Amino acid sequence: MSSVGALPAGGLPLEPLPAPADERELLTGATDERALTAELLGKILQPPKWLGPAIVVTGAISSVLVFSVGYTLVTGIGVWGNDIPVAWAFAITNFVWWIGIGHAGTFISAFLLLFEQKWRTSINRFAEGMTLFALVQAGLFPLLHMGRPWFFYWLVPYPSTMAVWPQFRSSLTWDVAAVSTYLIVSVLFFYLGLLPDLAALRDFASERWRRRIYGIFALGWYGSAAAWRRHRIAYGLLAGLAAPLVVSVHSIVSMDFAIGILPGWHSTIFPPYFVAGAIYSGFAMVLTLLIPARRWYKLEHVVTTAHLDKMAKMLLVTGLVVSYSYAVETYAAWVGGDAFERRMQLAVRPFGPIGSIFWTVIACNCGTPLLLWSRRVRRSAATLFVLSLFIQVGMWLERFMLIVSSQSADFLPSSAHGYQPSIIDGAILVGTLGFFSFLFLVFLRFVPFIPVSELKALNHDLRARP
Amino acid sequence: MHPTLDSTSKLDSDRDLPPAALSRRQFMSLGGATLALASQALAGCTRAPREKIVPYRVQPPDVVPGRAAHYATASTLDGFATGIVVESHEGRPTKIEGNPEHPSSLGASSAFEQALLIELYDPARLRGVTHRGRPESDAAVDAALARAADVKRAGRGLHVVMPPVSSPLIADQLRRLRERLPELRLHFHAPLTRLEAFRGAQLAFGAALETRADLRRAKVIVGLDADLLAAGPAHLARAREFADQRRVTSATDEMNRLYVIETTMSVTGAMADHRLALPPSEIPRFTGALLHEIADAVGGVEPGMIAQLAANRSGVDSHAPFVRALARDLVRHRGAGAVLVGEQQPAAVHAAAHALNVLLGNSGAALSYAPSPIFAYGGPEHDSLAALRDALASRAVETLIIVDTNLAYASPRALELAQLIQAAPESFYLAQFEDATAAACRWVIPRAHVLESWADTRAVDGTTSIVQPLLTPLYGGRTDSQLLAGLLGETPVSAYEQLRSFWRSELKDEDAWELALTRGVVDSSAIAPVTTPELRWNWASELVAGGPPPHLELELNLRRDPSVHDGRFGDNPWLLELPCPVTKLTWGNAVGLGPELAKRLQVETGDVLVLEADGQHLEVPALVVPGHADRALTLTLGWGRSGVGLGAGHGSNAYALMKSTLGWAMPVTVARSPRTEELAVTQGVIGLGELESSILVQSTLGEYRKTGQLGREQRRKPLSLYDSDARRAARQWGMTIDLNACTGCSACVIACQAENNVPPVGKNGVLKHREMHWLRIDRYVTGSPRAPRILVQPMACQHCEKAPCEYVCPTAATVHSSDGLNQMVYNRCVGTRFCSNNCPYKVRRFNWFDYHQAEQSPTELVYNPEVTVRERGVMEKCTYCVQRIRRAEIHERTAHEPLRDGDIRTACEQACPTRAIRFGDVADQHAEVSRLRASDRSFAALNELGTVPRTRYLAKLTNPNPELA
Repeated sequence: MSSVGALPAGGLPLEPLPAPADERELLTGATDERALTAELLGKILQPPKWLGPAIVVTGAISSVLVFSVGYTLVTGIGVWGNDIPVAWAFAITNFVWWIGIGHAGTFISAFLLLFEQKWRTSINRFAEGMTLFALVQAGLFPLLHMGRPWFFYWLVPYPSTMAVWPQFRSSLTWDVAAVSTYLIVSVLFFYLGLLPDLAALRDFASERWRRRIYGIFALGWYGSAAAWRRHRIAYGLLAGLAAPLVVSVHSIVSMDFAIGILPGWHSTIFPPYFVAGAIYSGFAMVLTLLIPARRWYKLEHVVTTAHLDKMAKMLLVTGLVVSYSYAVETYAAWVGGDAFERRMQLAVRPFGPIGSIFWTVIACNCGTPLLLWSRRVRRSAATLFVLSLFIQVGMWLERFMLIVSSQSADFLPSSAHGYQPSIIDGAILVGTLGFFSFLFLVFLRFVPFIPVSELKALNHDLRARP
Repeated sequence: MHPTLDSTSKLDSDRDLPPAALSRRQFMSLGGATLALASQALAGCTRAPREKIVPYRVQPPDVVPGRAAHYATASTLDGFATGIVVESHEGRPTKIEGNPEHPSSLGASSAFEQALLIELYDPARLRGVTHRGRPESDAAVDAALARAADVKRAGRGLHVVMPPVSSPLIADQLRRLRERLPELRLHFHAPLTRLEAFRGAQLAFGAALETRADLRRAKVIVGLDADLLAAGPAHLARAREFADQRRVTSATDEMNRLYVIETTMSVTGAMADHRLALPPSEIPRFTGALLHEIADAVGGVEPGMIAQLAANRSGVDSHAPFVRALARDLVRHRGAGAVLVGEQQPAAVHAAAHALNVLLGNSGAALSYAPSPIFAYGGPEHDSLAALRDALASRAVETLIIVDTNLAYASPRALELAQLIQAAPESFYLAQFEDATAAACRWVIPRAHVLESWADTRAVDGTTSIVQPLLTPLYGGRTDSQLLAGLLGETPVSAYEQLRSFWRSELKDEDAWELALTRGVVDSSAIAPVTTPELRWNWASELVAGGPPPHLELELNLRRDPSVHDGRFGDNPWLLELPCPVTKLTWGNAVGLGPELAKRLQVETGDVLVLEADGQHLEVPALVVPGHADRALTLTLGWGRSGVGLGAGHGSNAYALMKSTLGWAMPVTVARSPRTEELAVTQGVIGLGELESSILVQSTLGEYRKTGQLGREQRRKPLSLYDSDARRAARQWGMTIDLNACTGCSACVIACQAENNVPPVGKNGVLKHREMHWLRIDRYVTGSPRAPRILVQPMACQHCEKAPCEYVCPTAATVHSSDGLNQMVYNRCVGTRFCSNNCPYKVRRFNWFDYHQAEQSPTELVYNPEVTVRERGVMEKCTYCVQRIRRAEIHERTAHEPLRDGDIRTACEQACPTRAIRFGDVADQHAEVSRLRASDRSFAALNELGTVPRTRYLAKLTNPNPELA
């Protein structure tokens, strides 16, 4: 490895300082770089036995999505449980949830890169993959939930012969811009980071066809110092672009509600509250995926307890921000003097027909992270796995509660009405979970999901220091 | 007649030219024939029209394609006429309005008249003569009818059943039929019989007279189990008169006072200033007590009778303060009151009301009496169902002819007519639909729809209307008079010929005839009122002893249904989906009971009850009705039909519990079934909550007079960061809805549905809360559970000046017009539904499916060609009937006739019986709508949201009696 490769990710060459103890924890076991390459790339070229059947099963679940989406498109969204007043329900909940999950990837890749956090190294590829696949699920819903999805492109500003532009005061047009930008930048960021590893796979693989395919995707990367230099600069720039997107995308998604006048939606706290919630659920999803993967791929020395500990701390912080937002929302309603808002926050949500969901949300999203004050909990993979599931359920229900309760009891008592999801609603949610898992498993099968070159750099760095 | 056409015909001697002097009538038959041909192409089973089809090569002078023509005609329900005006596009009726010249309409129409339109195009209508289910020719049925009415047999064994008849032509035919066939038996059957009202008048006056009310002259109105604002032959006119006395615009204005004593909450009860809920059997006693008080005060009653009434009061008079206060109020307003009784009350109560009105001097003022336009009114033919039953059972009936009444279904099941009809050796049924009676009869003959018929009919005051067709019968149906002509042995002629020759004596020349057709009424055909006859008192014991014994545990109150009447409209998709004004129930009926009884029985809405009356059982879901009398249950007629129609299988058949057409209230026992049923209720029993005053402003007249202010908060203009839109047209459309006049009758809901091509969504759609009605009537229940008050608020798009729906639409599909309309551009809508979420009034409706996909021909003909039929996935909502606005504006430009206030009327406004809805230019200071907006009572719903709605409401006022405060 050249000295360029030893640079800490995105950082400047500094005098080597003694590596702190917790950095040493980030990579244990094998320390030989050749062995690392062989081990990590070997996991792609000789996948574990469970992977094939798992891909088949998740593929089968994905077909539920294909069927239910097809049925919806052919028949109309009347097959869902939506009604008037609850015109948005499962689809928008799923959209916000999946977009939120997508946040952790970019947060880990971009923010932690800019802040020179070494622990991002082993997990960033994983998180980026998750982001992309979550975005694929999320992107499905705004299209699908339209009454006439075949005209989705009317939301895109293009020089149309009708000479009609989208209506830019609507947050839905902002959504289109925000989400598509985010998707493009995420793909570029992911792919750029992947280039050296694809080249490594090309060089490492023994079969000709593998070398061919990986060779095509590696875009002729040959690891010269100049290439590394440009790669570093481009990667840093993209990180600089992606980091504000982490904040902007969910801020804009939150405005789908905040610009509305409904009690419980019309609130200025939404952007920061949604961003925190997004990162919260995203980190939970990373843990959900990473904990089994690290075990089944026998990667405990690469994705170590220290990683889990740090992610758990992120969960704790974002969880507390979310809890604080809940408290502020309720308090603002109480002192705000808007009778409709007060009724929504203090009566309808906690004690209305879906009050049980409200309290489940509080338990999952505010109660769960408090356990993470304990170091023991933070370092227990099994416990964290369970907690991460609770948080994801809590975050899904939070969005559901927020979206449905405000619509179901807004201003006129005469129009108040509840919501009952249909079987298709459930099938679509399950289908996206299946499709997401399917894409993720395919990703594990073909792509170096641990950034080999970056890990070797970290290894080099750790060994170079006293 | 049409010189322009004559001159054009000279240009071309081609034989294909339209007939030279094309009268409108001929045009209609041509237009109708065109339609018939079109429907034949679609349906393939109608007869070819005899008339030649002629294209508009030379356009008839009074026809402009695309411009609607309007024809006056009349609809008949239970024998009484309501004048209607039908809009027709190129021979295709598309909308029904009230006829302003008709005394029972005054320009208004009820949901029933409105919904006749969709009935015309019902794909389930009978399409040809059948004999035992097999298609037969018209000639065959004519021959069979001639055999049945063979003059040699003098009509022995021949029974004819039909609804009560006011038609002069049919009355004449019946008279001649009786002469020709003296043994013929006639039966007039209406399930919602007015027999007790006949008898009441007979008891009080010795003659079967109709009571006529002019509520404009009544300051105190008492309804004894009378839904006088929403039911009965002249309810539209009565509701207008009633509302005219409640349009308070300043603190000095007077207002009438309405007392209602009734069992279940009715539309009228909801409007009452004072309401007392009593089980049906206690209403006679209440009436006796009232009569006693009045007799005390004004005298004029036989002493013996007073003693009887007094004795009857003692011990049971728990409503003494109410009775006394009511009596004093009536006495204070002698000569300016009206006591009206519901038709289901026993004759003695009617008689007592007549006595009250005479004693108080109300007769000759607000009330007058006149002979009925109904043929053989008060005669035995009106109460002969039992006789028919006996005749059928004893095989004395050889031929049964049933005309337009679903006898097998709409008759007490105890009479077992459904089975007995089948036993008749020969039976004929003239009907529009394949119903239970059609299944029981041998010959089934399609009946022409009212919009396909030539006929005549009379309003309750005798005003006669000529019924003219808008199109030739779609399925070759015949009219009642054509059927009777067959019995009379006359050579078959068209219904028009029959009618014209009958009326030739009265409407001699063509001009008089055409004038009657044009206006929809025959000049001075009303029956003059008689001087109030001397009162008789021989019914006192009947009043005192009236009603079931007092130990009665529970009694069942059978009522007309606000949606399907007696079952007559049971297949009408618009009416099936019309929420009941009080309970908001659609697609079915349920047994109504008060909250206290529900608590005692431990049942909730939706729990199925098993009712048992006189050995008959009926399973029916419970529905808790606020303000329902304790110890009583209410069930509406007309549901639970078997068979194939749209309404079949919905609700429970109340006829199963009926013993006879008389005595609607009956003892009943109740058991709980383990089943529950989900009722398609559009709004549960909801109050206004703590935010009441921002939604609906209400007060009392006294309070208003004291403070001179109403809903001040709701008038203040909210602060805004944004200027109002500068691009404003000269005209600014707006609406006011007077909550003091609105009864919640829901005629506007159907009018809007008809005008704006709103699809019904079915019971499942309602259960999922996906009704498409652009205009709904919000109903709130306030007050104490013992004396609840119902408040209604018609709610459609408010056309907010700062509309929250507009800025959230990503595709600019909902935008503001310069004249203040919140417009919906269907073509541009992608269906994100954000606009609906952001609408605080929740008046936007979404096409969850393609609601027109499953439509059967010829239903599509019902659509208004001036309004887009919306596709799947787009949002829709009230447009203020923009098509009417634009049509008027185009007319203004092309005809150079300035538009005046009131020229444009929205569909809801036009139908409204009480003129609660007013539409106009709010920028015009002299417009009615501007005057109302400026009044003290005007307020904006949810004013504090800053939406600046163009629709303003006028606050609800009540006028309680200070003595009862």
